[in-house]
Amino acid sequence: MLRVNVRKNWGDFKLQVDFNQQQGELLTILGPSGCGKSTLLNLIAGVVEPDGGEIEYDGKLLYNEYPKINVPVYKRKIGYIQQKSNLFPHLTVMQNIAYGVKGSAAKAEIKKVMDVLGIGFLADKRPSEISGGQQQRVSLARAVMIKPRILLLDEPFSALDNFRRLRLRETLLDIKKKFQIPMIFVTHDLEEAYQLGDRVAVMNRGLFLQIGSKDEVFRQPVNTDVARFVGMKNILRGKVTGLSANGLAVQAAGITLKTPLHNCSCGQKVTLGIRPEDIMFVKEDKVVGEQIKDNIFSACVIERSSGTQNCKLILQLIDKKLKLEMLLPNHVIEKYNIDIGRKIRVSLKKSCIAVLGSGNSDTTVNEGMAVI
Amino acid sequence: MKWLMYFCCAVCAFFLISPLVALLLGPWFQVVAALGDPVVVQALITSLKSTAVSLVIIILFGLPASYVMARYQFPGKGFLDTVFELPLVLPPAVAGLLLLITFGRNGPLGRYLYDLGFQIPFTLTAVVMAQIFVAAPIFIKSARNGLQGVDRDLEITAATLGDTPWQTFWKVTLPLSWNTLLSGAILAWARALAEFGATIMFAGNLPGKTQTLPLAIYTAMEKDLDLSLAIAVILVLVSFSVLTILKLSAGKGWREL
Repeated sequence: MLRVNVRKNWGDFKLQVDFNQQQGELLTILGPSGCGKSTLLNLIAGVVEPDGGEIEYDGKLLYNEYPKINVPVYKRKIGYIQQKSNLFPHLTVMQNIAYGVKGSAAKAEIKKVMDVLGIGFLADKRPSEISGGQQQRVSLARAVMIKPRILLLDEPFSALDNFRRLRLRETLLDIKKKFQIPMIFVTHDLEEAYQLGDRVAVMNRGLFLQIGSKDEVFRQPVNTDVARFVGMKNILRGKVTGLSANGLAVQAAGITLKTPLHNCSCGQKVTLGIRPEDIMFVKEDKVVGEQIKDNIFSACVIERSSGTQNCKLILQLIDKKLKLEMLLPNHVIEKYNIDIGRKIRVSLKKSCIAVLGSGNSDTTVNEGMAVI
Repeated sequence: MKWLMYFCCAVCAFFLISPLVALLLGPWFQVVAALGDPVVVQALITSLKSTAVSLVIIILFGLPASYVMARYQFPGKGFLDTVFELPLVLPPAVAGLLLLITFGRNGPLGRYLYDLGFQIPFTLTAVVMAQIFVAAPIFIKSARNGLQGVDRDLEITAATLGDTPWQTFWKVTLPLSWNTLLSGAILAWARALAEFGATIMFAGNLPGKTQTLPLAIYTAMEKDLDLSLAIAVILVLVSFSVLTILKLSAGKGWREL
């Protein structure tokens, strides 16, 4: 198990992080550029020395403030993959992969790793002769070969095209399964963080805002900052007007919403978050079932922009000032001919509304959409 | 306009190549005969000996020095930078004079060395020191560029794969900067071989002791032109082969060599 509790200051920038990683776990760290993700990895790898705290692996201290312990990078056995593959250009693919292995007994192991990564046929090539995706595979193989205690990955796939990126994510999960290596994967990509992570940490300005299982973080963000990072585009500020065993009634932007239960009292200010893809389209003639009947509204489509699979709509609730962003699959858009100016019914399913806690600390929340 | 450029280029080439052609048209028979002259042989030995020692010392101290300049930040680095480049622009005669007043009998350093029994001026040591003084900056400049060209991230990666800093240097940094280091060393050696001004000021012109090939040319020219031509041929041949090795090795890696 890895236990990290470190501090590092650089002028105005302060990094302070405290977390544990379980054996065999893949932890993704999600955060915008400049939030300190890469610095955190550098601290764990031993490339940069912390100002204080401790880093411990299976009861063995890798870094300690007092008495001073700082195990050098080359003794930590921590694999480190960056966006750049950092292959040694003067060595062949095979020599690169065998780089960290002492002795020649590892032949079979090398073959196994190359097979898992599908790079056996590249053995005699030079790094400059292979594609970016292949380079990153070789880089992964090289790190796996040293049997690392942990594998640190710093946006390893973000320089690749979409197709290769998706393939490599699959490969990474495969490696995790076959070699049982705990990993810390840093990314700014929401999808990637969600798909890969057993647990997810959201980081901003040198701090972990939240760390937990991915459902916890994506469904129940602790505050509006986290909500924004995990893709809750609709953030509403409101006031609790009713409290029952089934949930809350919250008045926000001129409408009343039924929400799941949350630890708060009547009259208290709260902030709500709703993912665009959780807003449901309800046909005009549909008889509404028990499950979704709570929060049904009529709205007018005022903006539409299409993607390859989904279509983003901006809705204006009829007679209200609230605007919402929703995401509908293209086939639904086509079937019901949804376009700008069209009036539709939508349901804000109760179970999909996240109560982000009392709104006191959230000073920057606008009514309606937070980010468009 | 284009033709004017070509013309200027031709003038440059003509000016640079004509002395070499004159040398080739010279009295070859006498030149070959002069090669056996003991003065020439002695000068050749002095030159080879002194430049070999100079080169070893330059690399031994210059490589770590250039590593420091390439990798670390520290106060006074800019000043040190100037110190390392100064000998490149300093006239060699001035360099020799400065060495003489520093290490001479009354010099600030020479005084103590004399007390310890070391007499530096007008010895082979002085020849070596003069060569190092003018040639080391060439190597340091080149080596520093080479080391700076090696990606820091590759060194970090090597460390995460279990390499100590020393192993990282041998397995990653050195092979990747090999070309620049080699060309720096060869250019520095060529500069040491050609050294004249500083040597004659600091080490004198003693045949069999401090007389190197360039000094021998100068001495021989006064009484026997053929002899000085013979030495010139040796130096031209050496310079040519150095350039050829450089051109051939450029772009070739550590392993192909």
